[in-house]
Amino acid sequence: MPVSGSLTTSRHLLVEPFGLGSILFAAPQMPIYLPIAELSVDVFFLLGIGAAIGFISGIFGVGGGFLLTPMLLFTGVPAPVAVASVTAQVVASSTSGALSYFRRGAMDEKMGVFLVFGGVFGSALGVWIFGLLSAMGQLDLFLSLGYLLLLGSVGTLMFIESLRTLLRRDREKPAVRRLPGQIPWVQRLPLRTRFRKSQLYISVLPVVLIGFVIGIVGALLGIGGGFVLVPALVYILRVPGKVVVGTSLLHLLAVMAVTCFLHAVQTQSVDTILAFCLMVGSVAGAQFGASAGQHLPGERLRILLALLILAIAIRFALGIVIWPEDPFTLTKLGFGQS
Amino acid sequence: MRRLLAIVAIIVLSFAPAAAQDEVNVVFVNSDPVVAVHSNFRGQTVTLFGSIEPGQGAPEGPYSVVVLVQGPSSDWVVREKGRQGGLVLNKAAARYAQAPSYYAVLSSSPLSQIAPPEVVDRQRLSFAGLAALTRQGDDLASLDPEFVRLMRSAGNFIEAERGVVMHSPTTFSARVPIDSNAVNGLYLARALIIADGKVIGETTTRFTVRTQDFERYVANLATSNPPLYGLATILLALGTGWLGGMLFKR
Repeated sequence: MPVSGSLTTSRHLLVEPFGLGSILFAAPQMPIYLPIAELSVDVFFLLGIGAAIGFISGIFGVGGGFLLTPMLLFTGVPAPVAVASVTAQVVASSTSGALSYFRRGAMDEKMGVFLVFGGVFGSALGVWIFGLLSAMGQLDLFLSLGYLLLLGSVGTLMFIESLRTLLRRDREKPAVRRLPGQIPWVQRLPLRTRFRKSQLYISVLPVVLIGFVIGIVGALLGIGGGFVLVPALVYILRVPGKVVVGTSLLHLLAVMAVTCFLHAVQTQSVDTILAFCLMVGSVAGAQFGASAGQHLPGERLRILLALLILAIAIRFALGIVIWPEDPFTLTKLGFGQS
Repeated sequence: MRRLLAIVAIIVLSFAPAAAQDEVNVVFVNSDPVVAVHSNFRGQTVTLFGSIEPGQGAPEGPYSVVVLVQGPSSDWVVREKGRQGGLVLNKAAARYAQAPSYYAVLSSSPLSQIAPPEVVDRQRLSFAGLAALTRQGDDLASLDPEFVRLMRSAGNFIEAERGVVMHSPTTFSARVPIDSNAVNGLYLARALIIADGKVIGETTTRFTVRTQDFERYVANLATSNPPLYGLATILLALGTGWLGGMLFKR
């Protein structure tokens, strides 16, 4: 397919600002070999992006997988390795949070069990689809579309929401959002049970279903999915604010651990050394982010996070419409791949 | 080294009769039977030494030497992107089964000057021939040049026109570059002695590449025992997360 000159030029202009690859491959200071990714990278670069994303997740209380996986993809880490390794990083980054919510009793363990039950099946399905897409050679396209859709919608919603809050702030106090009663169709479902800590008497079906869907998305895209799970629990199930974050962290921890295991067994693309560098960076960064977050104007920073998410979404969009420099790719088939 | 060569030559001569078509004997030894590669180094060079011993009625020189080094095989896929509905996606894919992950053709002078095409074909000295040989299915031959190009740029296919140095008309050495991410396993090196466009002597030697560091141990565990590897990774993650929480606790 012919490439016009103007397209090539614009591509350089647009893509280079995001070209993390140039940082990565410019004379590593302390190269470390990532055995599964089959790449030599600077260990400080990995610790650095881990710390930066840990810091952001500490400020905003988000998991960070949805930022980390794209960063790894843009730096040239093969897609299966990026997705599978971030699952291990999410386990590490949610451990300390989950423990502290558990100690404070701010966790609905019973609901967590039903969420995880659904999540494990979702994760298994996700990993299976992942292998299928990989064999078809369409994994990269799928990840780009998936992230574009996810980050595009989340980024837009977050941007509108925080812009509204910011504008309202000057004139009046933020309106206390009052959630109406239960959603009728949720109430009508069978198999109702009592979730004592959430003070809910609802069917287990929507709980399992939410866990299932988040499990699929998490295994496919390499994200914990906390930023989708928390709103789902709040708006669909009406889980009260005091237990929602703890319960969500319990789900992330357990389902991501299972996903990591399944990726290790089935796609064999978990790079423990890559994951470890990211974990160390992000665990440290998250602590500083959490304490910095208390002194920073969170609502105003949230708009910056929204812009960052939108920028990543645009980067994915460019990746799937702009003709690549080299339209041919070489892949070595690993064990059990066909 | 010369004495070592002489000893090896005697051993080889006394135990291994030369193949019938060989008109010259070749002794071919390598500096390191086991090459240990450490990942924090850029790579390593294996030096192979050879000596040509013309027998009775052997063609007069000058002799040219081609050294072919072949590493463990893997399966590869080359994919070509195409545009569909405005999106760039992978379209055609050609699979290359059991193609070597390392294939180096080193020669004492440019191959085209010393070996006629039929020798190049028969001795599998061309990457294009290797691609055609390993490709599954007859269509998509158009991807062969791309396979060769990508393998070359990945450092898997190496061609060095002056990779073999003639120290005298009958002794030579070849320096074989082994990259730090070379595949572990047995590497086979074949030396061809060519005079007047004909192969007049041939012999092989082998060496083992083994990376002995932690990173490669991790990679081996990931494929040899995936459940254990997965569990170890999860425990590492839990431990790191827990320790991080403890360390930074206020």
